[in-house]
Amino acid sequence: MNTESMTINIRIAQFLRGLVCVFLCILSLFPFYVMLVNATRSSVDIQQSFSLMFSNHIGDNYKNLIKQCNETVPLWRYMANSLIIAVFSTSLGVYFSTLTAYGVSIYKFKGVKFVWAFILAIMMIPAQVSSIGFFRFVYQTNMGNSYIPLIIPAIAAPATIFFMKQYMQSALPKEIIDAARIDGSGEFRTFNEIAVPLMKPAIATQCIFCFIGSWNNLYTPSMILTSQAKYTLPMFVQIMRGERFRTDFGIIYVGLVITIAPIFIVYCILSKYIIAGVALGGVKE
Amino acid sequence: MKKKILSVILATAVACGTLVGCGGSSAAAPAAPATEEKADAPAADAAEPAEVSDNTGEKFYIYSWNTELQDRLEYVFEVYPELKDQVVYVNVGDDKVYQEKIDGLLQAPDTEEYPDMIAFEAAYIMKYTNSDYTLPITDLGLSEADLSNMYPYTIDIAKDKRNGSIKGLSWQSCPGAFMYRTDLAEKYLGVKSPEEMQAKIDTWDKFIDTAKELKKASNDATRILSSNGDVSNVFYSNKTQPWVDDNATFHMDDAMVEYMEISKTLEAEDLTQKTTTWTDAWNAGPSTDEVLGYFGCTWFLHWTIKSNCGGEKVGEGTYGLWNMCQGPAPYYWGGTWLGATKDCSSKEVAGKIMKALCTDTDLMKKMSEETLDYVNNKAAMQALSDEGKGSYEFLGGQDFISAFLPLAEKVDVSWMSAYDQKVNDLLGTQIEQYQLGAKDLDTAIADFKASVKEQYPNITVE
Amino acid sequence: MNKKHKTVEYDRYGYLFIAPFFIVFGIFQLWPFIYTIGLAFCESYTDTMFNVEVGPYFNGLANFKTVIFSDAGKLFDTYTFDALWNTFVMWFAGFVPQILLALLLAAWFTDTRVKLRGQGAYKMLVFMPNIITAATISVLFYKLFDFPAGPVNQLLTGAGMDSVRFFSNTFSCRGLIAFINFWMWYGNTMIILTAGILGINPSLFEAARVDGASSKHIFFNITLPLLKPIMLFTLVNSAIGGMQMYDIPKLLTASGYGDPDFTTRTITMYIRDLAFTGSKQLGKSSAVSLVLFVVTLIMSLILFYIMRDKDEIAEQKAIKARKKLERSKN
Repeated sequence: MNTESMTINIRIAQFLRGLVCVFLCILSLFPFYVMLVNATRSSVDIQQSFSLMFSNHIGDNYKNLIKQCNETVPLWRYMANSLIIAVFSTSLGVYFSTLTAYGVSIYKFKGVKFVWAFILAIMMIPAQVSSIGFFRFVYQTNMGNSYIPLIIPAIAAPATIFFMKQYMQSALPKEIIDAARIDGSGEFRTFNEIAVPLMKPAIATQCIFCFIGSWNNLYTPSMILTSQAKYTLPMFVQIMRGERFRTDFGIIYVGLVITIAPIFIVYCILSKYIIAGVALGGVKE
Repeated sequence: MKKKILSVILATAVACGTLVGCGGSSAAAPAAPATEEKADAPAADAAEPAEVSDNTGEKFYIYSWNTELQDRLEYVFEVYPELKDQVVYVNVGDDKVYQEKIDGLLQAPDTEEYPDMIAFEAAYIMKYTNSDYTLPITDLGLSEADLSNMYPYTIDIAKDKRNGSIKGLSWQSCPGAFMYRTDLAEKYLGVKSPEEMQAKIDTWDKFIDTAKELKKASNDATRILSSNGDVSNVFYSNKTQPWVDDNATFHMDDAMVEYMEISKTLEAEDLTQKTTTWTDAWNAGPSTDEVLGYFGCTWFLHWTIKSNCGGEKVGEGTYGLWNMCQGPAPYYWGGTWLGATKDCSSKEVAGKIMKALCTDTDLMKKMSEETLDYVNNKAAMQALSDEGKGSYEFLGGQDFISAFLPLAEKVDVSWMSAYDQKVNDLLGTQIEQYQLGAKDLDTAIADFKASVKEQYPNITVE
Repeated sequence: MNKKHKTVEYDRYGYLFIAPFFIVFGIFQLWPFIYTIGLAFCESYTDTMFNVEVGPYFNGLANFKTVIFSDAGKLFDTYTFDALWNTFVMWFAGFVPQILLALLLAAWFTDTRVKLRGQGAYKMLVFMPNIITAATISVLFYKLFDFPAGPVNQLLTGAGMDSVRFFSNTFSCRGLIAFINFWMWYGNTMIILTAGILGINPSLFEAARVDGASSKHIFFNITLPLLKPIMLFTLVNSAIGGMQMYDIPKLLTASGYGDPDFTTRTITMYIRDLAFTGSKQLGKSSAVSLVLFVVTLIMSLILFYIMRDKDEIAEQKAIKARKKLERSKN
């Protein structure tokens, strides 16, 4: 009797909890769904009424958007710019962070403890704190309006180093490195050919996160870049709010869909790894 | 299986990432982005000829915040076809970030997209003409004699305070008027002519009364204005002194207090649609029966009302159902000036463009005839008026040139300063608070002054 | 002897390995930071009337005075601290529901009695907003809540209600920003907390269950206390992230300067506004940056304390274990 009522209770709980979760999933998807729907509707329809039914104006909206963009800078250009910055800053950032983490965990040089404490200490300081000096410095050294100040600073990424070092402690036995040394491998070769392959899972996780971080960044690029041909995708989103796009609702929604699409696809493919990475980051720390 | 594919993808991605990382570190890192950009973009470069020869140094960059100037430049290309390939028109697209962007570029003369010529709005042109960032027109091959047909105020605005040299020219003159729907005015107010309409709104008190009458008569279907902010330009023009005078002292003009009061009345009595200026809902107004009119100027008539009226000829949308009259006070709004920059790559090109667009009477007459823009050339406008070319189908046949002619003569710009745009924005923020009842008048004014002081610590705010 | 010599040689490579980090850090972070500190003690702005840069001239603590004290001399009654307060309010209003919901979901997802099906899909969807470009999400919400005829207002008027000016009202505007933050981040927190709960030794739960403890009991008396460090970590991390809030409030309101009446202007927006609009007050803006630095520093110290505590305990344990091992060997 008792166990029977228990199983019923569990069933009910299961059902209710599932209901809440489904609701939350709808909450996550709903704004994007409205965006998709409106991207297919004409500007006049959007202004007149709310609808959840897809319409057939997406082709027109898309054409208008491309036409609007081509008057100045074609849309694909923003995407290419974002991609260039993200690819370079990610690869440089992750590689050098692994290098630095390797340096502080494998070698026992003088001051290594201080170095590690220092990296931990600066990990939480946001870049915005020094943005004024950064901006002045970049312009004084003629790096304004270039991608250098958006890519090179990625090399100094304390959070990535932190993650890498945590991972190294469990995934990189010192014996392997000693063995490589005995085989006569140089230190950098040991790193590139033995340590890096062993660190692959961590490197992959960090690549994803660095890439997404760079791709989504608005603050620094909007401060540094002045010529529109060099704008990134989030900066294009900012432009879309402006006067030029204001009269047509349909093309704004299409524009939003296009800006979201790449990261959405990446997420669909890699979501398992991303979620695993988030969980790992939380527990390790 | 799926997992395996994924891990292969991941591994490849990582391998690529690491390889690129190594390559980037061993080669000269700063050069990497540039190389990548080129490698990534060959297909598009072919499709976009304007971008191929970025580095030739001969491209002439003109900056503006919308497509208006771009259309006008076509007239210049008629005279100087060789400029068509040389000029690169950059449409920043958002007037909110325009100044920020221009300032950034002016600081970086080495940038390939460094502006050679910039379009300025009245609200901030003085910030540039009073500085060394712009060149006097005499450096560009123009003389004061070329400017004889211009409305004097357009020249006064662009004079460098320090030495009186003229730094910018405009091709248009922008007196303002009240533009209203004839069908709605007749239906609800019994108004049949612009004169009758003018009589109903020639003071602010009457304007408010008419607004109430309209609201009642239309049973809340139609309001006199779309947004409370629509009256702002009329009031700005009727200030007795600039926001900040030559001694860097800030003045809160009585006209501005009246502006705050009128805005509050409009809100409290529910006399407008309560939209926000330049938003989607506000732009949608001319195509519906919900708004009687807008305060607008010459370009506004075509650029905003006509293009949003929902039709392109009589019978479509509200096309042909508009008229205009002066409104409670004569005023002036906007207009675009052109200025050549300090490090302008070709003074000759800058001079040619200015000369053609702003001083060539024949060309300007043609331009006005075709675009209906009210050009900054008295001779051209007078000629058009004499020829009876002002009759305008969009205005139901009303002669817009003769309507604007006297208004253009009345324009006075002694109230302008380099601070206008930002200070107007700051005032707008506080007016919204006052309208919505979040603050009383004194608090709103005090907060407004505080925010001005915060933005401009070097001016005296009493 | 020979062996020792070799190790010393290897360890020297450490400097080479960390060199790139420190060179780049020095050039692109440390130097700009020092520069910012320097500017904070200088008068540096652009005179709008003639558009000329003034300064930088050293002016001591004048910037800090205007940043910390109002004209009337009142402490913290300044735009800077208004902006800090706005940032805090919007972060906090988003964080509380974020952590509560995340905790609830984490408890459900790890409940061994009431097993939820389709967890992977739930996790994937709920986490999704977190990685979408914040700028896009912001503009999307700006459109959705548009007045008078955005989709949400169309729904309201359709239901016979008046349309609402969401962006003219401090409460709704801040509320929306807090909601977006909550909506973007609770999935992330949930995943971290789920991992945290899964990391707790299962025998603890079993023992409690054998003793006849209810699910609620177990959650409040075992799970929650053991989850405390992770929750604290999440809190501080989220607070530091919240302090940098920029994209969403910047793009959500019409003017982009924190409508209405600057009540959604965050500290980073204020830094940018000061430095790049109006008089372009680089000096004062730098002083505000340093206020942000101090606030972040305090939070980091808290975090540092939490983490260091753990490391030390682990280290001590390791030392003990080693000693034991040595002893047993002997």
